Amino acid sequence: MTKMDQPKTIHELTTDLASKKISVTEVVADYLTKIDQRNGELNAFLTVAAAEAKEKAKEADAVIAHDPDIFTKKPFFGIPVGHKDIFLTRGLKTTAGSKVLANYIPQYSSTVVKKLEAAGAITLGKLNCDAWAHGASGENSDFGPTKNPHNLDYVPGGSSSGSAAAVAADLLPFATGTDTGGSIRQPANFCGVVGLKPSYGRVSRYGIVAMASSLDSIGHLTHDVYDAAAVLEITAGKDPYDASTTDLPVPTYTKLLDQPLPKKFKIGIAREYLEGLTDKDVLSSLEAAKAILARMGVEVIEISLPHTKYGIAVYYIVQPSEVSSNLARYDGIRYGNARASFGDEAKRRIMIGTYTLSAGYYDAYYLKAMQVRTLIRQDFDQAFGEVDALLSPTSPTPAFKLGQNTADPLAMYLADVYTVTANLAGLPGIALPTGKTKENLPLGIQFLTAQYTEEKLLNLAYHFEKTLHGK
Amino acid sequence: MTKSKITREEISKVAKLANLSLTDSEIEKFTPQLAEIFAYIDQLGQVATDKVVPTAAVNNLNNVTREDTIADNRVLDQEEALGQSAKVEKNMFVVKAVIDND
Repeated sequence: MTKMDQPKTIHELTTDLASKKISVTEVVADYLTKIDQRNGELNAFLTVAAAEAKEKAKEADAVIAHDPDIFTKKPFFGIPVGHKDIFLTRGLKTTAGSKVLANYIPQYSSTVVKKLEAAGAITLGKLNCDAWAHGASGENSDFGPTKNPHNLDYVPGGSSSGSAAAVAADLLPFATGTDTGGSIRQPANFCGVVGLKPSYGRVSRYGIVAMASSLDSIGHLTHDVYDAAAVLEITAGKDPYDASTTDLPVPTYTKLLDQPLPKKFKIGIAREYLEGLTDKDVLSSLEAAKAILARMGVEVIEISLPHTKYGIAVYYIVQPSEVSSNLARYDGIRYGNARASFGDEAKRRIMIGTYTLSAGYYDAYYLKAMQVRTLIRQDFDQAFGEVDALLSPTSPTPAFKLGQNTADPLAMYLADVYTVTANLAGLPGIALPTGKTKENLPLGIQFLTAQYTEEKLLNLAYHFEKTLHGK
Repeated sequence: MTKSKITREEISKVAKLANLSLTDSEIEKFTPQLAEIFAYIDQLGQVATDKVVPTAAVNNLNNVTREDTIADNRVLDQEEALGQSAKVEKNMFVVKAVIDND
């Protein structure tokens, strides 16, 4: 059994498996042991499919024995994965973090799950999340919050709380997640891992419990940028089962990573983001990022995103409106328990959305919000005319203590200021770790690029990561 | 923009529209929370949006269609389709009566 002081990345595991340094059975057993040791205190996994995973591992080793070429055909062969519990997995309980689906066993799998399985990945289990992906701390899970592996008194962020915590604690080499208003990027930063939010429409939403259909982005959390690119190569692409997926071909992201950045690559920081940002740790993380960019020879300039201050208001009209529609299907008739089983946050968002879409209020709220959404999108179009990428924090603070923000829903919403506008505009974003606070809590930043330019985003992130590690 | 103050009556009405049966104490709890949230989102009224085209989706796609044929690999058989329901009778989902025959 390998002694892991540094977490193994997907590409390292594949090298070890292909060279027969380690077997799939050993890899899976290793992760299951770690899950067994730590999940009690972390509550990252809601369901662990240990028996099934061990069986698949055995089968995988048999395949490797007679077909050493399997890793070329299936790039993720033998690699363990965990799925946020809103990804439907056929035959494996899927709860969406909610009592409404406490016993739901899906009759089909989501496209992303199927694509990863077809590439050879082995599902180890389902990961805890804020119920219905409503939240930014993990505290809205109906099955108890996930804890931050760096300090158990702190939240891991949300809503992909279990996904971020599991990767950070090395219980998995990677995990799937979703990002509707920041739910991959913020927990990635709170837990010190890489979190990729692809453009809207880049990855299929089919078979994933819908939160807000014009905002949901399907992504993942990994240990490094290379792995993030590798996963996207598998999951991205037009899906006939999701009419909102783009026709654009999927680049071989991993091959484009180490291309040199174009000369005169420019990064913008929005002045509106800096106004009111007082947290010394977050500010130092931005300074650290700027220093790295300077070493890379990248110019950083100040730009303006004038409608920034309306982002939360637009998001908290558009998103609950779409949530109220998407959660209407949970009527306890064809699946799931009665609507009385919804938690408080779900009920709040359903009611906000029902109100904003109702006769007499639709124009003042949803229509108005859609118009301001256009203005926000135009802000970004303008910005990307001046710069290649944007740099910002993902959150006004590092991870906070459990229970700190639960009394005031609005206060929790306001912390989404740096992440929601990327969803409103459909942009891709990546959260990268930069260091830690004195209290050992992770710090990080995010980069955003124009819609459907993930190759540019990943190229930048790859060089940033390399420079940060002094390579 | 109409500045609507969220009242207990409006919460009750909205809950009914959303098919959520709230207890009295829930209505007590949610009313001030929602009032605070709406006071915040009401600020959108300040933004000038004359002639701004609304954005409903961010993918520049229109009318994505497929052939009108059954996708066999996506069809659930009857047992699978009924398999997650708490109440099934004669191979049908059981719902509350909507027609009163009296």
